[in-house]
Amino acid sequence: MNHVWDTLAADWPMILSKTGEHMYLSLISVLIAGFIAVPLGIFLTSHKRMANTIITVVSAIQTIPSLALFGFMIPLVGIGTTPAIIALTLYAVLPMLQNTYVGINGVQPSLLEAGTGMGMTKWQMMSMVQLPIARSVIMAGVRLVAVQTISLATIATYIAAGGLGDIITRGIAMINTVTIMEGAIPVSLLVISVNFILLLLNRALTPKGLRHLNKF
Amino acid sequence: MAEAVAVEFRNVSKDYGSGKVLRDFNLTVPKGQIVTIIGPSGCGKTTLLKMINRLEEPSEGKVLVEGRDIGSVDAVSLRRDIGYVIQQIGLFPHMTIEENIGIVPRLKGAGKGERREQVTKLLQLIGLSPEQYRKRYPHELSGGQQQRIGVARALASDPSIILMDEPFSALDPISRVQLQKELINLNQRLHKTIVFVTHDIDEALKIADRVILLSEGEVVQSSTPAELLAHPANEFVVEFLGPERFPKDLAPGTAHHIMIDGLSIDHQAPIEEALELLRANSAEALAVTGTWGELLGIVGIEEISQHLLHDSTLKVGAIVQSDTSSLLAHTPLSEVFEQIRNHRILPVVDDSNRLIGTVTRSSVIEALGRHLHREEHSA
Ligand SMILES: Nc1ncnc2c1ncn2[C@@H]1O[C@H](COP(=O)(O)OP(=O)(O)OP(=O)(O)O)[C@@H](O)[C@H]1O
Ligand SMILES: [Mg+2]
Repeated sequence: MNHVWDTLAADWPMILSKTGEHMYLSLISVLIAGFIAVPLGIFLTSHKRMANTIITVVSAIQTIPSLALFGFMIPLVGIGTTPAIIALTLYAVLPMLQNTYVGINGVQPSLLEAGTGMGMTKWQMMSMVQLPIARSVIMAGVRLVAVQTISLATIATYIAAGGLGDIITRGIAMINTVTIMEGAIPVSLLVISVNFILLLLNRALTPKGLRHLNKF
Repeated sequence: MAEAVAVEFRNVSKDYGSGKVLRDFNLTVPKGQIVTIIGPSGCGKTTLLKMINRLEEPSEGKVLVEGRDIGSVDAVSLRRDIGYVIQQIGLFPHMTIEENIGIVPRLKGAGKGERREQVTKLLQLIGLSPEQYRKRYPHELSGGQQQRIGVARALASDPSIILMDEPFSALDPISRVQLQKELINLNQRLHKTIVFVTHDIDEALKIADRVILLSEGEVVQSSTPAELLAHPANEFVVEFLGPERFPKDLAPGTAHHIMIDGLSIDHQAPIEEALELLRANSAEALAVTGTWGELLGIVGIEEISQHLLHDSTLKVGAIVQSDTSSLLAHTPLSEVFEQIRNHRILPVVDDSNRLIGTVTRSSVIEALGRHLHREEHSA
């Protein structure tokens, strides 16, 4: 047991810095994906014919095995942080896009009729009615994506993008369970805490009049 | 007095792509009245209503609102000036009652303070305590209360026209009747033009100043509820309203055949108005009706003149004589003649005590005149 503590004490600074890299990769990817997916989702709700095509294309990306997608990045953009972020972003777009699209489309037609009938412009309808009501569905998409991206970012090590995957692969190479754990446990802790924080954030931001509908 | 026109349809056609829903349609809606639109499902009621605030555009012809061709008016600003109430109520669930009611003023750029004041006034008007309800959310209210808020929201920017599409039909019967009553009372104070689409014939007859009956995109009859029942334009009207609403066995010799319209007044009207009406018709007395069009009694010219000296603001309801006789539509003429000798006016009511006309001495004489005239010709 002593051996475990000694290793942990020696590796601590390295674990911290790899966790930092990991969070950076995940956060940047989720942010970029969010900035693409949410506006695109909003746009597609008023361009329904285009919506099917685009959602199908984006879904196709999800079917590429993750390891392969990271591999495809090498001839295109080389190795390192940038290709990793691109790959993670590509994976992150679909759930957020889908939730934005579904959330906004899920607003009751009677509310839209009432709004239009009272003289709201399209933009006012979106900002005053559709987005506030769809917000918690969109947030659920963000939460899903955050969790998924943190897990997936462990593979970024294969294209030399750093992160906690570095520790795990090293542990595998050395057939050293303690080292594997030093990489795996922080990943799990990150997933759990990010999920929890976003859950609380969503609760706090949900308008009071909609809270009774939130079952999660 | 010429009636001012709130909405006018001029040769309007509407085609959704599968045949014409409205064809060369003409209609005028007078100002300040509650106009109900009834007709079989799919006859174009909702289409008609939505053309008034440009949620639908006519395929041909034009719609005028207060004299302006709305085809050339910005649709968004037009809608902000016309109240709109729908069956599904459509309150925004994420907004408080206050925010919901204040939405049109907010769209029109009214400040917070102004909106707050307006909301307070409107909540009082619809009988909900502002302190108690202002900060609540729609889901915390009953269906009836929610639709009251829907009506308040439509009134918020003080529009002169309000469109309502089956606003009460999703409510339970008790709330429905309550809201109908409130709407009538409300409009006696506000004098809005209300275009009210409904499936419910009782509702249409009860709340309307004027009923418009549509069928397959055409106006079958447009008249007051009493007129509609007294003189249905054709067999379709009778069938649609239900034959049971029309007095049965109207042999030529009944009260129904000699009664006349127009000699009646609402109990809320000032007595001055009653006097004017009497003068205009050179009549001696009027039948007085309640909120539902039910007979309350009569007022005579002597009582009115007396009270007018003391208090000209008095309402007709305050001096009504309720111990009066009335007739049914199928009362035989022999009995009518007998009774009219002792009365200045005899109100004629239906089975539910709703006023459908009046008989006076002069209407009896006129009827006799017509009768003699016919005898002469056939002889
Ligand atoms: N958006 C639309 N596209 C195509 N056809 C339509 C549309 N809206 C209405 N119609 C058709 O136009 C006709 C009139 O419809 P409308 O909704 O005005 O009837 P309504 O009198 O309000 O019926 P209801 O009493 O059932 O509400 C119907 O035959 C309907 O199918
Ligand atoms: Mg309809």
